[in-house]
Amino acid sequence: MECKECTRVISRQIDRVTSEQETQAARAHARECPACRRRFNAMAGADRLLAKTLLAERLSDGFTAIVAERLAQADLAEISKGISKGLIAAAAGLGALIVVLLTLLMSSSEQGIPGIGRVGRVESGFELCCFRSKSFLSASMGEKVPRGASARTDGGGVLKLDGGRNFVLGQDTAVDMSHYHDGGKLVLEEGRLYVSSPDTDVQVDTFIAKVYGKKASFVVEHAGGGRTTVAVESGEVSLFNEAGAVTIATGEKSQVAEGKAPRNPSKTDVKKYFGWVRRWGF
Amino acid sequence: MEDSDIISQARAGSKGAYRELLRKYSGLALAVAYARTGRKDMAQQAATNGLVEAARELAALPDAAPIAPWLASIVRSAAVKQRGGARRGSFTFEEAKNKVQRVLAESDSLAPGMKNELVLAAFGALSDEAREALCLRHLYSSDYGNIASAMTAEAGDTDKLIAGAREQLAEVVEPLFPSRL
Repeated sequence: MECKECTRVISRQIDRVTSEQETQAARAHARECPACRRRFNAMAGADRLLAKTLLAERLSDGFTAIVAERLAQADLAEISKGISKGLIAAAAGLGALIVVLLTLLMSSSEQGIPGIGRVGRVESGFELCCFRSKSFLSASMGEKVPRGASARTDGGGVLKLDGGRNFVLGQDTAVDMSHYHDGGKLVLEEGRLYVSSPDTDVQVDTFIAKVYGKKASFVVEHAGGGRTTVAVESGEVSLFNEAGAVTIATGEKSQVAEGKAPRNPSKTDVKKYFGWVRRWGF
Repeated sequence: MEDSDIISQARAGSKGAYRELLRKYSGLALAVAYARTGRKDMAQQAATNGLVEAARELAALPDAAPIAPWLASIVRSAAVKQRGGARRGSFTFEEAKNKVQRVLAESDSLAPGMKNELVLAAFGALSDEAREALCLRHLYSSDYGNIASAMTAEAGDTDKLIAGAREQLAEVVEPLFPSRL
């Protein structure tokens, strides 16, 4: 065997795809060739380190969660654009796609995503973490949360309003969202609200939030008057508030991230985030 | 699930098709993007952009079209766009070699992480194709046929490319891995 062929076999041996015959021939050559022995050590050693680094790159920061978020944001932007042009039908179709993507990305999986800083796997109910305050809150479905601000649900779940900025919803829950300042319906002051569900595409020009939900309903009251009832049938409930941060996922097998904001490729300033909950896997 | 099933199900509006696309090919997207950008943040952004674009266009693919080379091509473009004018590699091979020798000459023992840093410097000096082959090998599939498909190459060519890339890496970092034989 020549050195060149031996190098190729060494590479294949690293990948464990050599035949016994190839392996024996390469070993026989290496016994007589110090250069190939050194090369084998260096190739195997470098490959081990490279693999370790690349795998760390893959797993850190929860790549799949980032993809999910980016998909959602990109598609929401498309919806906005489509609606602004009066392309209601197109937006509805895209909305359906969004829901499909979000649903598949956020549905439960037995595979976890190491590296995102998971602190808990919620088998029922939900868990919320607030990083600035270092406080954690968990509750079961139907459990009432002590009134830090207010808690109110119409059944089956819990709504927690913490400092007016955190909202936690129980899964499969009909919720009347209340803002603690107003003690009534959630008042939307600026920005936009996007809602996507299999049956609903709603854009409200006076708010701040995007909402994905799973069998949740909201009554939204606008500062400028009017109210919107939002029924969302699949996906995840997420609210993004410019004043602080509101991102809540709920229900079974939620994944909780801690430590730092998720890498967010959107225009959203992640520094404003102080708490979020991720679904477990996708 | 076969690619043709993914495509036909996507066309029928099945959410399982998109789930399968991401399950099966997110590693490929990240591998291609990382090979082209050399930076985790850029790679994640480019891979995400590519997956978003692919998800939108998946249903338009012919049933018999292989997804891997199509997606890889989308992600490559996204990565180049993401990278913009930024220089991917920090070192040439000679510079990487010199760095290894300088580090070893300056210290009897390497600082934690230094060996890894030197290997990455050598990795950055590889060609785009060589880096992509190694990234695909570690992030996507151990099957040379799958790697070849993503790179629109023959499996035998991929074999040579991976071996060549490893040999080049070894040439730079060999002093870091003294032979015990």
